[in-house]
Amino acid sequence: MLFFVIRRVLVSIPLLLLASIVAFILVVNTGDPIEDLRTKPNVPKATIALREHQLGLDKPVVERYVTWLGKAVHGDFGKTIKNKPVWAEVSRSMGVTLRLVLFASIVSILVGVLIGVISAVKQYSWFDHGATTGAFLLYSLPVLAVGSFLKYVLAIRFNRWIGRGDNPLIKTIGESTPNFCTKSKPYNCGFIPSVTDFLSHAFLPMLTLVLISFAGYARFSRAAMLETLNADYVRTARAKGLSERRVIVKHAFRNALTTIATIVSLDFGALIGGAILTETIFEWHGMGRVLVESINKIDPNLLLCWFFVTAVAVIVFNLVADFAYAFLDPRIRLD
Amino acid sequence: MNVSKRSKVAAVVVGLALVAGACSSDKKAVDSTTPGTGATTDSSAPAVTGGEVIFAQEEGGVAYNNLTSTNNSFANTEVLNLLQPGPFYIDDKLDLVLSKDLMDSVELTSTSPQTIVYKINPKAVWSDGVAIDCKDFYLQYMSLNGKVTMPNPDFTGPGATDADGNELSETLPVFDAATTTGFDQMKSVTCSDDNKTVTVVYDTPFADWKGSFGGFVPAHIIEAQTGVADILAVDATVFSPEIEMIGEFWNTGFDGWDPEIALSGSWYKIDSYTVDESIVLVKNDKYWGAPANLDTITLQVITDASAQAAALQNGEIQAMQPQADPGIAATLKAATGINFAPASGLVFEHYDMSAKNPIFADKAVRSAFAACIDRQDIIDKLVAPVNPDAKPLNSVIFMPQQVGYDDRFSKYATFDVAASKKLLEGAGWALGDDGFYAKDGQQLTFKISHKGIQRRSDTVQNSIASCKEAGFNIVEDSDTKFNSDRLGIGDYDVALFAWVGNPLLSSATSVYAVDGGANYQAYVNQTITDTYNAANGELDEAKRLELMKSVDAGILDDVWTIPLFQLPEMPAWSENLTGPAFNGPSGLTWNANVWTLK
Repeated sequence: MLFFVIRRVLVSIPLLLLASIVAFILVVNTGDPIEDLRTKPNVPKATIALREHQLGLDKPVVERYVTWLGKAVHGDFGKTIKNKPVWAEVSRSMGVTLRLVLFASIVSILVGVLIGVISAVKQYSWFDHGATTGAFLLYSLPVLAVGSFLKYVLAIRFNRWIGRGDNPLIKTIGESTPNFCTKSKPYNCGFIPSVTDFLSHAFLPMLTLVLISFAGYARFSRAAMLETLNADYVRTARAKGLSERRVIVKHAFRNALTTIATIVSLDFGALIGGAILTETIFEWHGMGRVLVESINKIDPNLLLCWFFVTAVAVIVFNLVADFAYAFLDPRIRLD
Repeated sequence: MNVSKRSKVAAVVVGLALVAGACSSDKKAVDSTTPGTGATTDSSAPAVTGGEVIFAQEEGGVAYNNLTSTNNSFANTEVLNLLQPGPFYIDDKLDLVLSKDLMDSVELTSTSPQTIVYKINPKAVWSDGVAIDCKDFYLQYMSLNGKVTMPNPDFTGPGATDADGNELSETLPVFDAATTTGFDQMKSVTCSDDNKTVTVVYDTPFADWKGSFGGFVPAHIIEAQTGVADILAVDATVFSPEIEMIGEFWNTGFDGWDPEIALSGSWYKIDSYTVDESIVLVKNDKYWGAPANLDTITLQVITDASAQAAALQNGEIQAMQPQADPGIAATLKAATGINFAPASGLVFEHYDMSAKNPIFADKAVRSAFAACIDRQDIIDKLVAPVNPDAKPLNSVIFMPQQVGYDDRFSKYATFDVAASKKLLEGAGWALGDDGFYAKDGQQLTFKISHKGIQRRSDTVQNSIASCKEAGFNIVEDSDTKFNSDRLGIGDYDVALFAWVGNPLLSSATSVYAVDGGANYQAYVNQTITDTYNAANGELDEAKRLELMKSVDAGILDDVWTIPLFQLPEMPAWSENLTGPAFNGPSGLTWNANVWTLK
């Protein structure tokens, strides 16, 4: 196992390096970070020269990459074009994304796997048909449509219906109310008020993520369960007289989990990069927004850091998938 | 400046040299229906004080010092309208109005040399109780005069170049100044003994002097942070260790909104700041003028316009000014409980013909091109869905709400295919079998280049179609790097991009003057240049206005540039809120001190 971990970590290094080179090439070709400044009529040329110097734009691309890499391996990802430390920005955004994605993913997985297993066990039943139809419907709906619909029905209309049009119970933006806990309102800064406020903001984006995510897990779980339910060892287990519950849980589901765990791990790695659309629709300032804004504003260091963090996340969760696979299937030996 | 939409007014503020942040409680004088917005403040009703309002920003303000090129932005202006003092503010007619709370008086006491005397209200103090005084003026002069430089560490000797082959400068400025306009013409800034009177003497006359000074940062904070005992003792034009320390702090020390550093000299002060999320402002208890009405104004970052609209409908925010979008405009128009007040903004699209292309040497060709563009049709399709009142723009110096604006261009740019053809034929062009004009073997063909955004593509396609009827063979040239790589060097036949209208009329000098830094089209008219320069130095406002009108008329009569339309803005606010009024350069918060909640 140790050898496997060391080997995978060592393989990851050139992978990361390659990813960083590709990312750097993409970033330097995204555009000119000070394009606006250059085309404003009254900005002194000396100021533009100063900004080029500060951002390293007066250096050759290779030198810029080497400088960036040298600092990045020491944990210094530089500053944004607005002079803010990049890592502080990205780590803060990662926290926001994790808060949004973690809970939504857990619920999605639990609900999706449960529905998938029941659908497989009760194949071609009314439940199976209903779940399949519902899953496909939600799976095919754009996030934008689901989010907007939920905002209109569960927030705007619902809040007005309960007489809270000016002080909404269900919120549509952000993860907290900006003037909720202030110096003049210390009573709102306690644990319970803060959690209550958070939930009023988190309800819709999490529901959106659950609705669009659980369907995929349900379909994968159903397919994996059907495969194992038709396997010889399941037939043998039944022939041995084991209870149906034990057959499903211990023999079929345990084996189906290898597929599910792999998908969950890989999905989660990708989600660290941000649930871009959901974050945008509900104004959660997470990794998705970092990506969108760093591209829109042509912010090289921020974009590079995003690439780096998401590349690390994908590599790490690939590793996690391998471990999970080995853990769930003793036939697999990582060494 | 060209123009992503939101960089627009940020650039205005740069061009404005500083006034954008300067407001005053005597803004109450403008409480009235604001033309084009439908916004009203009920000045007859007794003021209702108290309450909280959340205003949505598409982009968060990042720095208290909005005068650095790094941080200058419209988002900062929206916050600083309520924090920073200045001698003048811009009203919704784009007039510069004296801030009577801050200034006892501001007078032009001599025209030769031009001398301005600023007398500061003795009661004026920062939110920490320290007086707002001449030091703050002197610091601004020091940071924006553009004269203080330091050696460029990358400069290895004459002929040294950067990665792109551009010659490196031997020195770099100490201050990351977004603009030096006006300040670079000042000879001296001196203080009275009590530091409450500032005397500014100019080397050369600067007619837009009212736009100088404003958006102050507190000098005493810089003294405390850098250890420089007295800023007034530091020569503002010569490099020294003290000025280097001041420059370092001025450039970055005001980043973020630390309430201990980002002091207020206005109605509100900072209560709290959450990076990328919000800034909460509460009443400044040290404000010496008439207090604001609302207890708290929160500026919340909501980057997505549709999310802003939903939040407004849901009662989470009370006011917003997002990017114009027809779909969102339709939603807001149909929504209940919302005031939707579309208006024409300061950013205007225009075609510029390049003098480098000989096909445009003949005015008849330029005029024929202007006549075949259906500006009204373009507006009907692209602008009217948001702002039904939009009209073609007929000036390049004045905005329609400004004194001095007049229709100086319809005579050239009223869509008329027959007139366009007649002009061409009069100049010796002949219509070929292919449907295009030609002369001396050269077909009437050229490209219109732009940055590659949909609105511009739609504009160009409209012109291609309408001008094809008049015998022009026009090709669209969409290039995402057009603005960054080609516009500045005039690499185009016709460019479609945007400039920003500006209350300071001198701001467009570099665009139209011979060899001006932003004269990308290589437009040459020495008479215009001379008149423009004369206007910029004319201190008699009435005479200056006439000179500016003749500059505007002269530029348009040459038909090298074709103003098209102003981009729409779509401010909206809750019906529970009274007071908001559209203000192009300063944003909706410019008069938030008079907002009230029902």
